[in-house]
Amino acid sequence: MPAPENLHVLIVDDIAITRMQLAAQVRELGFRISEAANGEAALACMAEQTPDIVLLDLLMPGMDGFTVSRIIKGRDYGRWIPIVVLSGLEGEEHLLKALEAHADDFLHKPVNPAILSNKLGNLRRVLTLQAQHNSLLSRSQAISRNSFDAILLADPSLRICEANPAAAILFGQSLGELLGQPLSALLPDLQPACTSSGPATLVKLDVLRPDASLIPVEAGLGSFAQDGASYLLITLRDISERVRADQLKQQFIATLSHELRTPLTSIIGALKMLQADTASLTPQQHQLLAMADRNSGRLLGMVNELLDLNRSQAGKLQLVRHAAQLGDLLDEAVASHLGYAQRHAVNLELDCSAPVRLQWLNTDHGRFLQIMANLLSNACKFSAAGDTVTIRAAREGTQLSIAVSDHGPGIPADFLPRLFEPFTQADGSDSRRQGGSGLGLAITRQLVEALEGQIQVSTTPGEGSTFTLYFPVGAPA
Amino acid sequence: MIALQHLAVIEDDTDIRHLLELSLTTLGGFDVTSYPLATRALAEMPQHPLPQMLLLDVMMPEMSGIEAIPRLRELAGDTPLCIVMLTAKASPEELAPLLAAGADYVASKPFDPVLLPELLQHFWSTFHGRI
Repeated sequence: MPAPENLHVLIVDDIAITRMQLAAQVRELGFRISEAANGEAALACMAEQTPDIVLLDLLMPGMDGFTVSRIIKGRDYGRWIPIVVLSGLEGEEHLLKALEAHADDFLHKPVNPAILSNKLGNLRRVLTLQAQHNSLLSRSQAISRNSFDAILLADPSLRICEANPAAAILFGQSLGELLGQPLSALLPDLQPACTSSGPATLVKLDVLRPDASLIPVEAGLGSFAQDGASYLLITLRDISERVRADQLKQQFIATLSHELRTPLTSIIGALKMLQADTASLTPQQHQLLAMADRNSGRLLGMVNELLDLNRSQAGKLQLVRHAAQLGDLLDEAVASHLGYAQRHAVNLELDCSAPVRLQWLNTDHGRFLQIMANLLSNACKFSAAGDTVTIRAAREGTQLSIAVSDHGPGIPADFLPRLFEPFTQADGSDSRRQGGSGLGLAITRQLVEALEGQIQVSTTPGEGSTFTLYFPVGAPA
Repeated sequence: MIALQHLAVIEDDTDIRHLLELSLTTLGGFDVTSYPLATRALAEMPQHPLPQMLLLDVMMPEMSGIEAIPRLRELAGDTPLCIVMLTAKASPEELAPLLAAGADYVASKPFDPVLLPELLQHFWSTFHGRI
């Protein structure tokens, strides 16, 4: 449809002079014009260059206006084309007959220019809305048709009322088969809570296909209101390849770490046997053996970290949780790190008041110590000789907080967003100087979250960093 | 309690097998017979006196340590045989199935060969307390 300021009006009248006068008036109002002298010519014009509005004389020799109106309205032009009939007859009977022949409006002859202008103005507004509606519709259809993600629309009773071709492929059913089905038949693990209104959410689900196979998908859930009822909009992305890649990665890491442990067993074992025979070693040999032993231990530590991360990412972390008192846990964490701190000439200071010491924590003893070990060893590693690393515990409402602070160089701001991601360290040179696999904080966060806790970091470049753990207060044993 | 003297080792990795022999004979003072495969051990053990304790690797070609346990128990008959599994898998969730499969104890790899004889003596004394 042309722009509303350039709408096309077809004028059908058998009397040339009337037609020309009307054409001049309509052109004056800013429309494009074409003319037809009888019904047959009008229908030919409709086929060749379909107008936006038809002004149609009722009384014409041959095919009259009633017939022309009925024929035009019986055809599909893909849009609404208003027909305004013109008549010089007295009375209303023929106008009623024209409306019954599906004409949309009428004008009396001779045509009053003001009425003509107003009626065409009204039609222009309606046609403008129709054009906007059509373009929105074709745009949304194009989005839906060309999307590689499946798009479903569910009505308030949670039945499918719209689906796109990608949905048909994903569900292994035709569009016709999808329509009307309850959502629960297609997405059995979609929680009712997900379908409530609110901002769009992203969840992971399985799609159930007619052959009973399941396809993992990421589902975006949004809702919108229409006629006072809530509709659910669901976009689904097939993530089977990602899931498969994750599984392969986990398998690979599990196999790799097992394969690495076997030669490490021989290396570490041989070194320990040699070191046990202290009497026959020169001091230099002893030193070299200690170096090899220390570094094979580091290698083993990294293999263990890799395994741990793998396990926690796969959700296979098994936790054995018991109630324990915070003071005891922190004492143990500090005691087991005193040696490490001394080697870095760093002091460990535990700041925990007597009432806080008695607070209970429902935790996995070993994993809690592992979390503390990661934080304390990082803090020591990044401290200068003579510095103090502080462990400060407090109760904050229903949470216990444990903050580990150092006075090290701090963490660069641009690195903060990636701090808890695997295989990251602030920079390569730093990683070599400080050692480590870059997995420590990733594992720490996974462990903290598995224990229903949170970890936060605050840092000031040049002044130091504080890692704070938050755990819910537990019930006494 | 009868002193622990005679051990058998079933381990397919040559280096680890030698390391075990070295640790158990030189540091532990035990008599050690070793086999590279569970299938070989099952074939040859009947010709020798039954060991008191068996160190058994988990992942081996032909027959895994887990598959070998019931066959070894069958071979031992009524004589108590202390089976210690050696595994490169380290986590508690991976150790539980080994005990469920019939191992008496599990030792993880890498192990410290200097401390191993002491660890096995400890296993032996608690094993004796149990039987």
